[in-house]
Amino acid sequence: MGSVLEISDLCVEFHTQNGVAHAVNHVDLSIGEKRSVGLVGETGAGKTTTALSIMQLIDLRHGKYTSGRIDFRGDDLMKLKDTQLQKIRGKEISMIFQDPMTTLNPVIKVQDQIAESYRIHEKDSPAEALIRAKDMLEMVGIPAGRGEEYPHQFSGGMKQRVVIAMALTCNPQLLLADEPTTALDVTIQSQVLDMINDLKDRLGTSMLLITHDLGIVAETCDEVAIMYAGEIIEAGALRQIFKDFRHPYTDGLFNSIPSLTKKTHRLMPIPGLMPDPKQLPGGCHFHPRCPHAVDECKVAHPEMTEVEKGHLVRCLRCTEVLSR
Amino acid sequence: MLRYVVSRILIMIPTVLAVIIIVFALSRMMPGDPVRTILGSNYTEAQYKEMSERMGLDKPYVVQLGNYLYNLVVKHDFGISYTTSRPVLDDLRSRMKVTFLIGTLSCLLTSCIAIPLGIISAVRQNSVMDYGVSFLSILMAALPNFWVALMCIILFCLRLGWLPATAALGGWRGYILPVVCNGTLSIAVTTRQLRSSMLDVVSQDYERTARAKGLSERQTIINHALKNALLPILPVLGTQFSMIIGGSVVIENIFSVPGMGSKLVNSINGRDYNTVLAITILISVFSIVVLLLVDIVSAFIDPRVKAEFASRGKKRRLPRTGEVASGR
Repeated sequence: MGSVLEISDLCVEFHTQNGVAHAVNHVDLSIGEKRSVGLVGETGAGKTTTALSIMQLIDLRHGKYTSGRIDFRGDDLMKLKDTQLQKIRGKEISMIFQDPMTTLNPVIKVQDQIAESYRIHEKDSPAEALIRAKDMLEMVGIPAGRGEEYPHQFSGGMKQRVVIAMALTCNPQLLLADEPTTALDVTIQSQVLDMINDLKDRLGTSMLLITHDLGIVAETCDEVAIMYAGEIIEAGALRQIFKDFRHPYTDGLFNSIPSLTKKTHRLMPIPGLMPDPKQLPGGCHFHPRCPHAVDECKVAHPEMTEVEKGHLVRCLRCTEVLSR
Repeated sequence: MLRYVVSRILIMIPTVLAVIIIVFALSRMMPGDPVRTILGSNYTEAQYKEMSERMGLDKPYVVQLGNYLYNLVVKHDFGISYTTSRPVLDDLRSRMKVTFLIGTLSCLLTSCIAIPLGIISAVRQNSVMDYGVSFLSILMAALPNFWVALMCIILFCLRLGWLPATAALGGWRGYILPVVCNGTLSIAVTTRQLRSSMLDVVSQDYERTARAKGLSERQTIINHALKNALLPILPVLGTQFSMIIGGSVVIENIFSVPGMGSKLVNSINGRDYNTVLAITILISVFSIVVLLLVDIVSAFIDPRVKAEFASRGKKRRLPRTGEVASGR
């Protein structure tokens, strides 16, 4: 199965007043056709930065791509000109942003915001684009008549649906969903997820789903990549990660969610905090928080090791500690 | 929406009344006596008494104010000018046109220059262009406009001889300098304000959304940022417009423009109460109307404000009779 998107060795830095933040470090990721990949990690792990890099929307006043290729259908997105990127953004690759409250323009009618991408990419007349926008609204379960309204007249869940409709207007090949359900309450969350899944199946879209919720990943994704301190530390098929995780950080993530089958009195959160991307610890970035760290972990930075076909782990002790 | 407009117009009435009362009191507190000014140095006690009676200045302050308000509201009469002995409004009619024309032109000039400059310096933040615009606008905001006007006269009128120094001479060309000098401060202030409001808007999430849709940088600015950035600028432009009209007093005197500003100074010198009052009231009513218009226009542009007032109107419609009965 061919891959739609192939990221290799992507590094992104942000220059701030207090130093250089290494937000994304040597990320390799590939997304197969019609596949869904979950990108999981704590806040600040570099998930959103990775997605924005795919869109080439990193704010270059502060940010900088220091290395990497992002291959999309034979083109390296990093090398494309702005005008070429504009043809891809919103049409071939589109993004659902994290916070529906601020993602929509407050002074433009909802239907016009949806119609906009259709109008510029399909070169349709405004009237046709508007019909399409109304269809999209109906598709995400909002009565077409409400397109006349402005974002402030919508509830959070409905705004998120509008954002999704906006992202799907031009039937993109790749959808980057950045925490599409985080801002929503649980009942709406499942509705929105069902809708994304349904639309994805119908339109044959590949998806990168960014989340910190492993439950959502289990429901929606085929493959999973776990991100920590700007690196992917474990990647593999859904089953491999959920049933046979090898990285101590992944272990920590699973321990910090309640289980229905096992009896646990207390959840086991991972001690400590995500390291400051301006001062990443040497060796394995996870060693200060790792219960299994040995002296070698403090000096040697682990490479990705394939423990099973398609299952990669970035840990020196991946074959000893959690191996089953 | 109509309710909002009507209620805003109703609120104007007490504001205007307050302005009239304050200005009226201030004019009576001015040192000097209009009767003496008119009579000159040789007059008898009887002449003085007769004159004060004719001008109504012998009555108590409150009665004078009552008469003034009665004439103004019922007869739309600003009284007779003490110096020209003609109705004040007739004296002012042509001057009003001149002042408002210069004010409107200055305000248009402000919009035409400040809006593009503000956008460019925000979009090209920290570029040479941005620093240049910032430097110039800070300079312009710091220099008093009468000084700028005098320098312009020295340069354009005396040295280069391109433009007349007196507005009354030389037709439309005489109005170029007054319009420009009147606008310098507003241009500077509005540019700064628009720059910061634009900077705020371009870093909003919806701008990123617009880029993610495949819009070009120019389209995101024009279609998405501009409307949001101009919303907070409208009230600034409104206040600038009233400030320009108020500031015309200085500029009109420098360029001898036959407008209300130069008339105001003459009338103060001549203790011409009625004219002073009329000019001050006209200028303040004008400012209030401009601010009202700005509010209404913003409400129309910003769907959030519009919705707020629309819904407020609906809520109030029901208990209205109750409110009247309870004495509100």
